[in-house]
Formats: sequence, C-alpha cells, structure tokens
Amino acid sequence: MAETIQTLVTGLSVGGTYALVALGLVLIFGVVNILNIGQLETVMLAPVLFVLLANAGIPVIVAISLSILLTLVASALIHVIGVRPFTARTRRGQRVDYLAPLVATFGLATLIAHGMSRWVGTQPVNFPIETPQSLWYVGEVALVPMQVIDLATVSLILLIMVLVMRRSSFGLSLRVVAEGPTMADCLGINSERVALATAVVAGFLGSVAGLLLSATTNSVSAFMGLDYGLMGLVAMIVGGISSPVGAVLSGLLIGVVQAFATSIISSTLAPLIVYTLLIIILLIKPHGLMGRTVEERL
Amino acid sequence: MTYWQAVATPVVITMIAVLGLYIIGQSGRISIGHAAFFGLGAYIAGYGSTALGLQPAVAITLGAILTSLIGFVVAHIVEPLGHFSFAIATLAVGEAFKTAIANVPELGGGVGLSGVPLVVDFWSVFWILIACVGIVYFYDHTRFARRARAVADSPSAAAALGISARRVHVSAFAFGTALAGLAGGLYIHYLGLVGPTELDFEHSFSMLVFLVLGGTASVLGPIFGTASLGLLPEFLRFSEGSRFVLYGAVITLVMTIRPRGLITWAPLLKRRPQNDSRNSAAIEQSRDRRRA
Repeated sequence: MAETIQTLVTGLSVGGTYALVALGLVLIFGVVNILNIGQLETVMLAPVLFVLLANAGIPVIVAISLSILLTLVASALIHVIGVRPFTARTRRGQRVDYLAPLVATFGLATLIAHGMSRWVGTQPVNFPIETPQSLWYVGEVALVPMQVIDLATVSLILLIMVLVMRRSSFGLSLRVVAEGPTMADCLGINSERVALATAVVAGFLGSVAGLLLSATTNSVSAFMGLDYGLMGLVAMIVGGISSPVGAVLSGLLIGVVQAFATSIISSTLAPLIVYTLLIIILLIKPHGLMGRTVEERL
Repeated sequence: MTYWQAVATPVVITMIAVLGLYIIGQSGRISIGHAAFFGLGAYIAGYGSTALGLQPAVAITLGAILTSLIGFVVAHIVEPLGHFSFAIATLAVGEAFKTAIANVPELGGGVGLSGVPLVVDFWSVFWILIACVGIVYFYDHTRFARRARAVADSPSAAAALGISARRVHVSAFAFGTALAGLAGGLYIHYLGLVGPTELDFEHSFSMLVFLVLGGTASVLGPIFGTASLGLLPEFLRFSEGSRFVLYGAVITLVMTIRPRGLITWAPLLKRRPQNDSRNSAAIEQSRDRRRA
C-alpha cells in the first residue's frame, strides 16, 4: 500500500510537469491554430539559463527569477519569429498549409537547442543547487521531498491558471480569440496581442515545468526540450487537442502510467506501455479524452 | 568510393524515404514516424540477410513489403484522427516501435544489428532512386493520386464526390511506408549496421523538414529539399559547432518566406485527366482554388 502511494506520488509529480507543458501548447493552439514546437524549448531554456547564471555566482533566488524572465522573453521571440508570419498571412486571407508553421517552429527549436549546447555543452550537467534529499515520512509512506514540492507547485500554478482563465480579462479575451478571430475583431480584441500574451503564459508554464523536472532528476541538458516536450505533445493529443482540462488530466495520466510501468515492469519497457495505452485511448476516443467532435478548424 | 559519393549515398537513400513521405503528404495527412518505418525496413532486411540467410535483394524486398503491411495496420488504427493528432499519433507509434526493438535481444537490443553484407553502393542506390522518382511521377498522374489530392484539399468536397477519405489515407500510408522500408533495407546493406536510434523521432522530424522545405507541389520538392538540406550540414562544416544553429535558422527563414516550400512549380501536373469525367471538374476547381 505504502509503495503504491509512493509510485502514485512519483507519477503525479512527473505527470504534473507534462500537464503544464501540454496546457501551454493547448492554449497556443487554441489561439493561433498552430502546433508551436519551438515552445517546447522553454522546458530546456529555463534550467539551462539557471545553470549558467548560478555558475556565474548570482544568488539562487535572483538566478531563478532571471532565468524564468529571460525564458519569457525567448518565448515571445519564438512567437514573433516562428508563428506571427503565418498568422499574418492567414489574416491577409492566404491559405497557409498546416505543415509550414510546424516545420518553421521545429527549425527554431533546433536553433535554440544547438545554440544553448554551445554554452552548456552537449552532455547533461547537474542541477546547481542542493535539493533536500532525506525522505519525508507520512506514516509508513516515504516521500521524496522534491516530488512533494513539484506537486505543490504544479497545483498552485494550475489553480492560478484556472483563476486567470475564468476571472481575468486576459482569460476572457483568450477564450474569445479561441472561438474565432473574426469574433475577436468584432469585439475590439487585438488578437495579435492576445496571441503574444498566450505565448508568454505558455513560456512561463514551460519554464516552471523545466525547472521542476531538472531539479527532481538533478540533470540539465541542452537537448531535454524535445525529450520532455514529446510527452507534452502526446498529452495534448490524448486530452483532445483543444481542451485545457483534457491536457492536464492526460498529462497526469501519462505520468502515473509511466511510474507504475517503471516500478512493476521495467524502465526500458515503460515508454512502450505508455504509447500502447495512448493508442488504445485514441482508438476508443479518436477525439481525445475531452475533445470536441469538430477537432481542428481550417 | 570518393568523398562525395560517401556523403551523397545516405542522402540519396533518404530521398527514397522522403518520396514515401511525399505520397503520404499528398493525401492530406503527415507522418512524424516515418524514420520508424525506415528503421523497421532496415531491421527486417538486415535480419533477413543475416539470420535467415536470404539474398540481400530478396531481404530488401521483403523488408519493403513487411514494412508496408505494418504501415497499413498502423494507418488503419490512426486514420480517424485529425491532421495534427494523426501526426503526433504516428510519432507515438514510431517511439513505441523504437522501444520495442531495443528490447528484443535477437535484434541486438540497444546496440542493434551488425554484420550485414555490404552490397549497396552509390550507383545502385542512384538507379533505384531514378526508378522510384519514375514510379512516383507516374503515380502522381493516376486517378488515385488525383483523389488523394482532392481529399487533402477539401475532405468534405471529396466525400460529396463519393471518395472514401479513409481508403485514400490508408492506401497512401501503406505505399509511403513501403518506400521508407525499401530505403531502410538499402541503408543497412550500405552501412552494415543499424541501431534503435535510427527509428528516433528526430530523424522523422528531419524527413518532414526535407519534404516541407522542398515543397509538396510535385515530385521535385522532396528531391530538392532532401538534396539541399541533406548536404547543407556538409557545406556548413566551416562553422564547426554552430552548424546546426545555422541549419535551424535556414529552416525557419525559408519556411517563413516561402510557406509552401522552395519548389512550388508543378509543371507536369496540369494535364487534365482524359477519361475521368466524374472527378475532373471538382479537382480542376479545387486546384484553381489552391492556386488563388
């Protein structure tokens, strides 16, 4: 029983970070109808920048805030360079093939990952600060402190995101733009600005996920963006490509399945179990767990 | 073998695989698991010519056929998904294949297959590429390919004409994965070894980039895209460590300037089908709309 709870906590803490990445992707997809692969690199950028800043002797708190801040700037740039040219074409009435933005943002991801590897090297490095290592005991259950911190942070951020989406004017305009850019224009909402703000929010979610992941695994690599981002992408699809709630739930589900598959079977076969389960889910519900029947607007 | 032949042979083999991706792309769906099918073809052909002792030519053919069958089954499973979900689902399938192969000891596990006879050289690959280009060019003029383009352009209009999108997607996927399997079989008989990393999604992404950057308008696109981007890292050697930074920058720049790819010229596809009165009007119309 105690072991089951420990595995569940492990799964939820990893799954929570997948959920954050997937949520960012879903929000961007809802606003611009583009799968922004470049955004996955925010998961790598924040920890890598943090390593560089911390090694330069900057105090930890300042280094963390500065690395997140710089990542937000980067995600705004990714949006302006990789996504805006295509949304601008769509606004001018040109038909843009769905593959072009996918490939353009993938090019950006390559550029960023290889650019950062020039600074931190191609090999993974350790996370620069000591994380609490001694286990916490709740009754018989031994908890890894970082996983508890992960869970708490992810829950807090998801709560903030719910409030932002439900209560703030940004959340409202985001949902209007997601309904259709024409409607947004009629209501006087600047959809370009909403799209930029969404990219920044997604960058924030990605950078928090990246920092938590690398602190938990004690490893930072310039190529971790696509590796973890892949799970975010899969969670996005399984959740139903345009459903934020679905993305969060399937991110958590993937984390939990992965943790149980690792502990029961083996860590080498765990990805196979995860992907097989996802394909089974898509067979039963082709539009994802929470997807609408009309999945992609053209 | 000269330096340029050594550089060009993998590029030519990749062209064959990207031609397969072009055929899948023509039907309006795209695969980000294409390298997995390439790898499957390589493993099947390599296993055939080592453990089963088949002639390399027989093993390569077997690899292409079995890969196509696997592609057919996969396409049946993922077909109901929309374009993005289809792409990501093929990515997941590819990663599943990669993990599965890495766990089979008979196939060398994480290390991979080796000791495959080296029977493929630049010229044999080159002539096979020419044959494949011919086949794909011919395919582009078949009634099936016109239907595939109609489905890609407007699924609902195609459905109204009685074209089954499902059939088009599945058949195109099976044909495309056959070419990927053929390329994989050639690759393992050129290099002599293959590992599970050959099935990695990063390779699938590169193939997608080759295709989309070259352009999906005609068979010239994948050839030109693979030739230019496949050889680009060689030309960027002067910049040493930053060459992939430049590579990424080139991709982004080209796609934002030319979203439909470098080659949008489709000179040979203008001919109106002679005896296909049922579909021709709608397809002409849809092509006009695409051009507009």
